[in-house]
Amino acid sequence: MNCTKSKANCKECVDLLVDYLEGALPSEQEKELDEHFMGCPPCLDFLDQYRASTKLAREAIETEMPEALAAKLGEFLGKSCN
Amino acid sequence: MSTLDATAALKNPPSPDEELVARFNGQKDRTAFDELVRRHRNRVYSLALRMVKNEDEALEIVQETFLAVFRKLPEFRGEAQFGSWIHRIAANFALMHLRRKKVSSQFEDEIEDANGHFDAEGRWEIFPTGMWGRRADQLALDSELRTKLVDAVEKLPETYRAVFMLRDWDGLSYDEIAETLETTVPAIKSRLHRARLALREDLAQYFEGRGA
Repeated sequence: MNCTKSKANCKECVDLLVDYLEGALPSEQEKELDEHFMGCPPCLDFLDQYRASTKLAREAIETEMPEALAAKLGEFLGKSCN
Repeated sequence: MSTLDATAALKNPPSPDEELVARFNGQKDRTAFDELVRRHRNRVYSLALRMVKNEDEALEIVQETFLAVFRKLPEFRGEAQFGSWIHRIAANFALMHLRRKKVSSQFEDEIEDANGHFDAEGRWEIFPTGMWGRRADQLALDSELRTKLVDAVEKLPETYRAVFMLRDWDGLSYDEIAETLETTVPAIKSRLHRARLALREDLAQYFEGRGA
């Protein structure tokens, strides 16, 4: 596995994903992770899956309020907000 | 949308939230408040439902949220976006509900970290397999996958779920979430990471079962 050529190891890359994806790492560290992902297919797969899970979960939990509940909300606010 | 509707929408674009807030605060225009409720109720409901996992309780949280918004709106100075402000209020009510049920974060389950996947040198022992991560944009969110995802979110321990919802669903800042949950930013980031790892793990198992 040529990922050993980069300074950061696989576990360090995974541990830093939150800051890496938000561009919040110092530039040198970000470069190290970039290099690691370029040379480590398992980490690249993991990165894609990590990102995809969040995106898919966000889409799945979008819920429209059922009409009956929306009507109850309207009724409640009509009585309470004066 | 018909061509006529589209033309009308271009001529009369919807008022920004801030304009509705100003109309409500300045002219006591009740229709402006009703429009704000209509715009934000689905997002508030989604947040509440995933936090408390019960439709009736979620409705209570939505009601409490908009009642509080009605009362506090004259004090809203626009330092934050109206959407963020309302979602923070909703998050606080959802957390109060959870606390009332005496589900205390200090006694709840922890999510295991991913250390088990690595050897002593920090290399993968169990490779993450599957191409599904690369095809996320093309994946159809069918009802089976949607149910799997909702289950995966709902089974996250409470504080992890709260952080995931507030950050990845509501887009609140780390500072706002830390203040709401009365903890530190590094603790929030750690919980967010573990929540995302747990979701990935669940999905990886699901896609492996489907041979994806």
